[in-house]
Amino acid sequence: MTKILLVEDHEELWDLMSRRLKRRGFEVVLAHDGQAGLDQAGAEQPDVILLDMNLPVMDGWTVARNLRANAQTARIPIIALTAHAMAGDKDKILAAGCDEYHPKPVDFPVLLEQIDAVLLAAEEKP
Amino acid sequence: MPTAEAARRPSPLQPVLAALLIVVAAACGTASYVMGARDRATVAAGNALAFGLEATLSALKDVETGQRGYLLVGDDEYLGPFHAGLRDLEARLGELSALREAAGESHDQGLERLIRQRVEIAIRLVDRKRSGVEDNVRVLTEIGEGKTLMDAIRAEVAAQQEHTRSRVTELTETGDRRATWLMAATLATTLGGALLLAFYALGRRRAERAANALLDSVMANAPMGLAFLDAQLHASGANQAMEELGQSAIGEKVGGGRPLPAQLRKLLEPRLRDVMGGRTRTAEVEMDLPPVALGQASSHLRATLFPLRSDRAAGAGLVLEDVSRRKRAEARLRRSEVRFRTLTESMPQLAWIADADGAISWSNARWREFTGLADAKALGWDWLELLDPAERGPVEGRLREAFASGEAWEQSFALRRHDGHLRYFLTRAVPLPDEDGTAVTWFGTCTDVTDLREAQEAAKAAQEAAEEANRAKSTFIANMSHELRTPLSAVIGYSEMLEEEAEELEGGESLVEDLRKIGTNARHLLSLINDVLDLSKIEAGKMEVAPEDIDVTQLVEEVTATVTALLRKNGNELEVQMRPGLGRMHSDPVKIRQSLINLLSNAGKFTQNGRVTLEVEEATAKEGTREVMFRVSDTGIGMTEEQKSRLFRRFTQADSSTTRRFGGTGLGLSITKAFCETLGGNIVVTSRVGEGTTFTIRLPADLSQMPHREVEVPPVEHVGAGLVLVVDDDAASRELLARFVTREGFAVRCARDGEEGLSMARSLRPTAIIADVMMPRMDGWAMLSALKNDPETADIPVVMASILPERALAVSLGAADFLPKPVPWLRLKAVLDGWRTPGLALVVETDEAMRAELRTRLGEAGWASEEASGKEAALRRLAEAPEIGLVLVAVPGPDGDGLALLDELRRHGQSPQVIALTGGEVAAEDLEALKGQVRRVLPADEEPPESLLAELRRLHPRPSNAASGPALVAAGRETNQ
Repeated sequence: MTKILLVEDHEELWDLMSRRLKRRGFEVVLAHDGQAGLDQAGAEQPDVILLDMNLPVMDGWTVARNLRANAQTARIPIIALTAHAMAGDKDKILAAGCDEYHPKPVDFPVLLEQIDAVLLAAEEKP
Repeated sequence: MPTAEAARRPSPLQPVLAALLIVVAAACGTASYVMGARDRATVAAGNALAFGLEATLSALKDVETGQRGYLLVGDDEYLGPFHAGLRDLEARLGELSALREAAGESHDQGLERLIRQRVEIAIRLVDRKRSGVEDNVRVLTEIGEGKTLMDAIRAEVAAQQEHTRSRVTELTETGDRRATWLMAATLATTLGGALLLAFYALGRRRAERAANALLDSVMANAPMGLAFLDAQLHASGANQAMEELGQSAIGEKVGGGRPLPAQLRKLLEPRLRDVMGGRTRTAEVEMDLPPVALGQASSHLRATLFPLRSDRAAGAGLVLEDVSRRKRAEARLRRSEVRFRTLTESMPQLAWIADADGAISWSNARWREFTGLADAKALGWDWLELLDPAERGPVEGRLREAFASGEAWEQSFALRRHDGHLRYFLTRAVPLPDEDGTAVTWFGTCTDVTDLREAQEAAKAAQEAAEEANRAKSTFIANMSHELRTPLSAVIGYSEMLEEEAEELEGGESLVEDLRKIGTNARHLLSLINDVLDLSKIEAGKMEVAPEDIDVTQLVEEVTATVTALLRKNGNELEVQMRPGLGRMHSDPVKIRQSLINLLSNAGKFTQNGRVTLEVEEATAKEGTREVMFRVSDTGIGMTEEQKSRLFRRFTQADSSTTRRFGGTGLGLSITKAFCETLGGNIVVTSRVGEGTTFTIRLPADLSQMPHREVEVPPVEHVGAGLVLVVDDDAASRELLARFVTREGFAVRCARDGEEGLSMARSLRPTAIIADVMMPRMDGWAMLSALKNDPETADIPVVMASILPERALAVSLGAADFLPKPVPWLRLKAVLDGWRTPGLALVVETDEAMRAELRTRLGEAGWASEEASGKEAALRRLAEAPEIGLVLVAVPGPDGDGLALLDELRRHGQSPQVIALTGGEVAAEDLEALKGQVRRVLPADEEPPESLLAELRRLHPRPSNAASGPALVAAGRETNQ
């Protein structure tokens, strides 16, 4: 079963997201701040990480860079979730090491497609 | 030329030398005469001596004859002659010694002794005979002795005679020679003296003639009238100037033996009598004479009188001088001084004049009032004490530096008022150069800028506050969008999830419907938030274009899928007409999609049970590139013209009531328009009330190939005060702006939209740009940002003009100024004046003084000027750079030069402004013709030339508001002929 690490501090969102993802048959691991997300990623070795960028303790950009810097987690695809929809945000996020970008509010069908896409891409990678 | 000078002026040595020669000649003559007389006496004495000798010999012969006869005959008869002979001889001998003395011969004893021996012999012989003692031998011997003696005497006499004769001859010859020489000498010296005298006389005569010629030429060429007056006050010997002066000032000729004109006589007679009577040496009389003819100026003459004495009668010399021009100049100077005083005393500034070293030598009353310094303290350097001690050093330093370099000084600093308050002044000083161009005095003004400064500070604070507020707004919008999206995400998410769960529930259909409504409204709220965000991006100029390859058909399908449900709500039908042959586009699909959704949802909102049509077709743009046209039309309520005009404004819907009826932020159309323009296209709307509305979007099919239009720019012929680029899409408004700016003396170029404006700004580098905000293709804001981001154009001041009050935005984007529309002309003029580069004028005038005067006037009116003395020089100058904006020309000018110049200008189509200054002699038809080709025809000899000044001010605007026609000004003045 595909394991998803959801790093999200907003309670309603992680509740909603985890429930909807579980309904779709994903295994969901939660982390409520950046540091916890980073630790969980190392411990749980998820297949995909959904990473909010605006996080307490450690922000999403730092988390993404640390994940990429650690060989254990370097290959795990990351989808950034952000409300920062201003111009140029997407580039900054991709530059931080994320594989995909999903603006909030979450368009769930689109997010599912993106998850499939990054998983497929990860499998194709040597 | 010293030689000519010497020849003209006889040397005073000449007559002395001549007299000397004549004395020598006289001496020679006298000497000749005296010596001749002496010689003649000596010769006579010589001759007398010779004769005396002869006579003595003859007497001796008589004695001998008597002796001989007595001896032979013994007759006493012979004794008588013998004794007579002896007496005679005795007398002769005495005579002879006297003669000898007279002839200067030495006393000769020899001859006398011989004679006396002979006489003794004769006496002895006679005595013996008488006594009868006959001794023959003895007689014979004695006779023989007597004979010998006689021979000796004869020889002696002959010798002496010969000697005397030769002396006489010698004397005669010497005398002759001497006489000849002396004669020659006398002749020569006499001749020399005579020649010298002749030369001297000739020289004198020549000098006299030269002096006369000099006097004549001085008289003829003197700039003042000269004449002689006799006791009856008849004027004679008048020079040309006097005759002309008489003619021009009095209307009568003066001189030629005519009596002095009555007008002059009345004014001059008492003084003339004084002068002639010897009561005063000279006299000066100043006279004001009324004009001779209508339209002429009155003249002012100065007469100088001096006594002239001849052997016959008393008289006077009269010097008449026309001082009208000088008087006028003096009057002008006086007026100018009064003007200066009035100006400096009435101006709100503190004004002062400082020496070359900076010490104040004069100040206006306001300065003294402000400083509270007494008159003596107000001058010099005491004012420095009014400065803040911290500022004093730098201010004094800068001032001295400026004064030393001769550059104008401008500085702002505070001065302490007499009551102790500090007031801020903008202080300016300009050098007043003297004739040789070195600054000797400085004219300075201190303008109280305290209030201005406070206002500026307040304005700056206000601007900072506004900018701060703007930043706060941006931050707020960014934060709010984030803060709103997050809960919205939850709302949408939960409603979607519940919907899914409800679908699985039995009997959950009614729940599904309600949940869907929650979701729909939440999404609508999200779209509103997105609109606000988009708008803030547009305002901040951060709208970015992300072009992709787009399948137009697919894009349209996506859009229709999105809006169909919305349209159905109002019972509207959506009809999509896709013209065949639609290919792909390379543009920003997000923006196109949003624009179409905006238009379609808008159409659906304002149409009930009608039809909304979306037409899509490919077209060819004017530039020949491919473009795609989207047309959204509805059968809705439509709009009035007035509503249409407000359509694209932000936060405004066609009618504020629509907001209540139809909802929406009112941002949709503004955003759509901004998107279309960002994508290089445009949007237009047509509408009829009750019939419906049609929006048409035209977008270039390939954004990357969007033609970067190179605008063809005609060369700038006439720069004048500067070049202004007017950018406005509305032809009428463009035309109006251009006309106003031209009238202000600027050259104008126009552009029809931001893109063209940008390209023209890059190629023309105008002095300034006036730009409309709302324009197709690239709006004013976009152009402004592009200009400010390009270092090559960033310095060009841009004035934004808009119907909306968007000053803060304009200033924050780097505009130099903002003008509301319709443009307030006075404000535009004030703005334009700030950029004016000084105009260059050319003064065409033969008279140097007049040229200088005109140039001064031009300078006062803010023109830089150059000068030309005549037509040829003017034409040469006009053909060169920098360009002349104004020509001031005297007409008709010498030999019609000025008129000819105007003709040439017109023939060559050159178009500087011309002011013709006319003298009195311009023919009426010439004047008419002039009026057609020049800006202004002005009389030249007006004092002061107010109309010229007014015209210059109008042409070259100090704040004034006069309209004027096409521009050339013509001035006429009395020429010197």
